[in-house]
Amino acid sequence: MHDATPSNLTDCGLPGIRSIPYGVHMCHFYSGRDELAAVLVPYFAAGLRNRERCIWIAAEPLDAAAATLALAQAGVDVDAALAGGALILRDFSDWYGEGESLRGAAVVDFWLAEETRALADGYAGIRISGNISFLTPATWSVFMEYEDTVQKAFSGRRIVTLCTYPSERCGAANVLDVVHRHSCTIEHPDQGWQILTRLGA
Amino acid sequence: MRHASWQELLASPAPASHVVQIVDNDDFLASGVALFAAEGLQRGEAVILTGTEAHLRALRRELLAKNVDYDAAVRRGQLSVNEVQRCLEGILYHGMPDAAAYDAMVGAALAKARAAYSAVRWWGESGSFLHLHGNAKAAVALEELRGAAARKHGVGILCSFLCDRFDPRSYDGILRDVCSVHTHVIPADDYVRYRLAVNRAIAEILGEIKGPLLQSLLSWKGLACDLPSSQALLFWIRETLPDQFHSVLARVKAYA
Repeated sequence: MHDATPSNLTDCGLPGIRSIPYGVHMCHFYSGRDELAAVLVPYFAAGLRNRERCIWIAAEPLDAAAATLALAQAGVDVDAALAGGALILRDFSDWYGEGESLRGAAVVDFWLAEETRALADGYAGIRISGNISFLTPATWSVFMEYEDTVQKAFSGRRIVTLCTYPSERCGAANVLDVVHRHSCTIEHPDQGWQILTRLGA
Repeated sequence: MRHASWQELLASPAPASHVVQIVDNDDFLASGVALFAAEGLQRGEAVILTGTEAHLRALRRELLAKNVDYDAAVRRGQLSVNEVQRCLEGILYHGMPDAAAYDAMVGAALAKARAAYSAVRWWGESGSFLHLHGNAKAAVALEELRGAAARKHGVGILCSFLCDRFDPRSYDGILRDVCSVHTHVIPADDYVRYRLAVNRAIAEILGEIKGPLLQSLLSWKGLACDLPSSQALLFWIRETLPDQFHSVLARVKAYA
């Protein structure tokens, strides 16, 4: 018998991590372009397989052109996904402007509207990733407010989010800021991937 | 680990918040408390200041410099000024604060302030005063009572506490104890500088926060208060990497 209730779990796409719940807001600290591609390509490939609308906000060291190529090399039919609306892949400057436009509520409203649109179009939900390599010390605290708002607003929604931060630009205090504003942190300690959760989170 | 700046925190403290400002000089104390008081007066709140005579004089100067009509605020009962030692004499019993006496003192002061003003904010340094006079146990007990009063009466309380945050011994004693009994901790005057110093010291001594270090950080219980990540990291290192703590703290001191 077919269960009409959609599952609250979805495939993460990363070996070692099986299912993740919708509403999860994850973070990852990466070193270099290869490590970034190694997390985002399987993450989005799984999203496309799961019939989620995938929205990739690309930034250096893996901009939209390089991300498109990396997905294609992984066997994803990027042209079809882009043409059909299952994949939206743009550079961050198309989404976030300078510091002021990072303020939380408006951007979160935009994401919630995207979720509504995706569900109306027959998708299981939306899968987002933003590569946060564009922050400066001056915009850091504003973006952390945005992360706070996202963490509260996405809980229970049909939205999966992975925020990637370049580890070479994150001091220890920045790492602590970030992990406290996400549901969990994903790490690639050796062969596979693992989810680290905060005590009490 | 939420507030981004102490200025924002002190300008509009949440009701029932119990904030501590860790100070190592009078200038920082005066600028922080004057901001707290001036903002309260400007917003039509009653303000109570309980400090040493020297600090109360410095605060008067700071408030006048902020164009606060100090004497008029005192006359209309919006600003109430009390000397800390005199207040403590009324609540200490065998060197320890008496909860009932403290409650009565707070209740009377708040009733007077609330007769004309709906919101009240209160600054004090009685805990610090006791600590400076060698009574750390009473200092922490009094801070606990102040926290309970903030919750019971819904007032925003600011405490200033003189303490050397670069003294490793304080992380096993007074600094940790005082932070633990407050809702928010202001550990330094310049958050940006302090953060850069902590980041640099940790990067040099511990390296990148990844792998086992990241796991350790995530599984650390932390303190039950809102404090900047820079200060939280120092408590984390003290607790989980004690062998490296002294080196890290020494470098933070050198860079801050």
